[in-house]
Amino acid sequence: MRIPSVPLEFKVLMPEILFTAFASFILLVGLLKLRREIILWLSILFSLALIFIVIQYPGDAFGGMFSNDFLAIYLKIIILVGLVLSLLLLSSYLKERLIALYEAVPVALFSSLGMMLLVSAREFISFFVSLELMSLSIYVLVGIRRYDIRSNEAAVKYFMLGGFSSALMLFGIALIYGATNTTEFSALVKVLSTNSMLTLAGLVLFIVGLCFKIALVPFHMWAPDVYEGAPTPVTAFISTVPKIAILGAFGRILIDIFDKYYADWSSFLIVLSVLTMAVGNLFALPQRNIKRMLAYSSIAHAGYVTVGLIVGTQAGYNAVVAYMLIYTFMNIGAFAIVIAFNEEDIENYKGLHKFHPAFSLAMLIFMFSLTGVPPTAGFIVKFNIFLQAVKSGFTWLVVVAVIFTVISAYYYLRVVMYMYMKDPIKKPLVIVSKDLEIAILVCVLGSTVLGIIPVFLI
Amino acid sequence: MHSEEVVYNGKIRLELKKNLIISLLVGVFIGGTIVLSGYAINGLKFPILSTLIFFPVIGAAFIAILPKEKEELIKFSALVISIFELILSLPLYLSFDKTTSQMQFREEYLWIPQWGIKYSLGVDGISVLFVLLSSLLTVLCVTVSWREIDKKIKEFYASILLTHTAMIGVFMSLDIFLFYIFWEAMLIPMYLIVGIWGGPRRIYSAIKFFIYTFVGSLFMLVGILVLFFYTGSSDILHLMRIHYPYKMQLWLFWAFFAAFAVKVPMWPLHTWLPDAHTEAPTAGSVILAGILIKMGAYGFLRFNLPMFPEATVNMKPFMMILSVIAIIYGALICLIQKDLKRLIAYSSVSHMGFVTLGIFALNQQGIQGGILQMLNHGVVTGALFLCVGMLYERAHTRLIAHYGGVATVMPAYSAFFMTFTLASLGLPGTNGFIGEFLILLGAFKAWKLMSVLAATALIIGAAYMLWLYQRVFFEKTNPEFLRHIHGYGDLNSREILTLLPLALAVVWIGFYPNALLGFMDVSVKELINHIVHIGAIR
Repeated sequence: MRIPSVPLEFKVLMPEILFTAFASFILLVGLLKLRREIILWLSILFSLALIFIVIQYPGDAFGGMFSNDFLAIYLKIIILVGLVLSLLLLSSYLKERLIALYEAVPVALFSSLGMMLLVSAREFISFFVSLELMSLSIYVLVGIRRYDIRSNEAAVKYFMLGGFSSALMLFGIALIYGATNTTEFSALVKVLSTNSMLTLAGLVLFIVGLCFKIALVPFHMWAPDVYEGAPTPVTAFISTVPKIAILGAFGRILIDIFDKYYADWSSFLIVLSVLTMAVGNLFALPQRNIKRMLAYSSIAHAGYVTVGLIVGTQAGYNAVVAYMLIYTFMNIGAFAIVIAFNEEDIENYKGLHKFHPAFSLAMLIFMFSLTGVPPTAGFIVKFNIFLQAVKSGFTWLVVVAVIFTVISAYYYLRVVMYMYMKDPIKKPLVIVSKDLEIAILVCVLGSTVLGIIPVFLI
Repeated sequence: MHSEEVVYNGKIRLELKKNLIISLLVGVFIGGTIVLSGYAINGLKFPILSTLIFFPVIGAAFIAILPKEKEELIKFSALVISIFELILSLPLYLSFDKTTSQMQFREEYLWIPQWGIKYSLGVDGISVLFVLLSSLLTVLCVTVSWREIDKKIKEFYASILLTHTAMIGVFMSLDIFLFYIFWEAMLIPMYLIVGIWGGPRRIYSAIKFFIYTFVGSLFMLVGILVLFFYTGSSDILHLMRIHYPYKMQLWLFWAFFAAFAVKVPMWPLHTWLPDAHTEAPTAGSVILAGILIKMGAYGFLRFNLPMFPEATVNMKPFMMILSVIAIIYGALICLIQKDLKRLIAYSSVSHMGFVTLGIFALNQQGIQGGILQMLNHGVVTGALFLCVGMLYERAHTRLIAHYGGVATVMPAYSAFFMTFTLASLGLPGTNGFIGEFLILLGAFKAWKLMSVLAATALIIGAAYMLWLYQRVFFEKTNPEFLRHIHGYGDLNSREILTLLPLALAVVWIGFYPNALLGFMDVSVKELINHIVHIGAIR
């Protein structure tokens, strides 16, 4: 066998190597029964430090099979920001329920490691392995409340369907390999021929597998149940951060490699996108449970984001990435408020403004941002996606998205209405911890200041 | 707490209150003089428009951090901030150059370099007066809410100030993206104002208001995206100079129409208005009627007319018909209203019909009359809503049947109400007459039949307003009402000071309309020249 003569460039992987070491370290440290604050803040500080480390090591490794380019770095930063926010949420929640932090934190770290590898992978095998590292860790996170039947149910459900979708995707990859005899993206671009039935079949299966993971309709059935059953901070995590990684990787593969098949996959995704927007928004309307509502809302957002992929240009992809950044702030923020109020029934949000004006104001900002009303950041990124779509001639798709945006206003505003305009039913038991307050503050700043000064746009 | 202590605390509070008023007012005047002299020295290089936009935001943030127990302090802060804002806006009136149609007080900074979007502000003869009107009405909104708003006071005044910011932002923006940001941002505080502090059906009305306007606005957003994509620019002044293909003009005309027609509101998209106006607290109604619905008509003038002139000319008959339907329909519905506030709300539909009729007459008289009538309507209907709010505060009912003989109990109030009634029905000598006369003149030039039909509404207008006045102020005094009025009596000085500026404006514009017409003369001429130049009007 020929040994590749290209330099391996291990140092490009430095952030990931450090991350692996650190996550294993936290796993071992758990044995020492340290104070939970130490584990938590150590992880957070490390994750923040990693943001700076990631920036230091751009480049390609393993002959182009691993690439840490600008967009990968951008995505990794969003992933790490999402991870930090989720850790903050996790801490106060687990403390309340006496769940060991040293179990949850390393799992979350490993899952983020998988995501970071995923956005850098330029080869199908490492792509798949990273994806599985991410997914397996998430299954564990969903079931972290071992004695809670709902958490268990959600974990099993997620595991089953997740395994199924992984198998589909793997089959797709195998078909593509069969047609092209390579798994490397750079080689794939060269050998990919148009009108190969085998490649097309593989591509479809591959897309279906990924659509499972980001819960596009009709592959979304698992999402509401899992999101509802999982512990709330885990829901915040899994409805946000993995989507960043998968959409990031997904978009690159579709746009960079399979651009010859643009007509095929875009028409496929158009159908999924419209269906997703419709089902996500319409099913969110009657929900009485706020976690379920946010689950459907996150399905709907996946639909809007897919519009950016359908555009099929680099600008469209950049719009998707920018969207995911703001989505991280507003979605995790909304879940943070749900954790703070410790209420799942929307009815119980009535009159909360009376008791907690600051939290209510934060929720108001998140809801308007999710709707996409200026001057919040949610508007800027939505505008960005719509702009790219109009540029590529998808005006009708924008009109559809706009109509569903109007529908979404109703259920987002209902939360605001309950909090501000109805009389309270009962005084809520609010969990106020410093961690949670910091997370909410960061999310509020992210979804307002970035709306007025959009420096993050690429 | 012992009762003596309460009395003692009350005394201290009174004392504090007096000192506060004096010191705050002195502060305002000193600050005002400094600012004005600052403008004079700076030769107007001062970023006056940005200051106007951001000062209320800072004010709202300041109010938000005040402790919520200090209600008096919150109210006075809001009053001082709004008065200061009014003083700040005076240079717009004093040093506005009436001889040019160019944008004035320009400010321009690159905002989102990736898209080439600019933070670009400026006012011309069409928009400058709305900024002034908004500043004036915001002060009055603060004073009229003094006693009416008794819960979540902090949030209320912050919302009022933020609404003001968003509204003047709409009139000042010269970048279409910035325009849209302000246009939509206004929805959030307004939704809260109607939904939190409104009447019994406030939640229904607030959601209806939000959804209606949001639907319209999003269609405009698609239009903006298409414009932006087609031209690669978001500069309104640049967009005006481009000639678009006719088919595109037509689509864009309807996209923008969706947003503006909902806001105006034009028949048949008006149904949110009676609900929102009726259920909103007095200040909310005043803002809605005074400024907010003018944003729609302003949008027609700023976007539809100059950017899509051929589509506009072709749609002119249709628009005029819609306007006349709104005029007559609104007026007829007023006749059967049992609710005071709802009656005035429907009269808004009728009056705004006049405005759009004037605008789509597409001639100097029509458009000038339309703009003047917008200002008149802001003053008069704003004042009528203020009056109704004052009455509601006393009797806690809006039903006309519950009143009667108010004139015998509240003579000063009746005089004010009479002034505004006469202005509303367009009596010569009041501002209403000038506006409606110009509009009818313009419409007569454009399409005689429509002008004649619209003129009939003047008669219906006189009928419903005078009948309303008769039922509420004359006839037998309602004993129920007398019982409620006990302890309140006629207007107090705060209320008189609230109504007086508007009453003076009614007479002032009525006798000397050139004070306002002079502002818009050149700009409107330029607008019409622009349409003629494109070749749309033969």
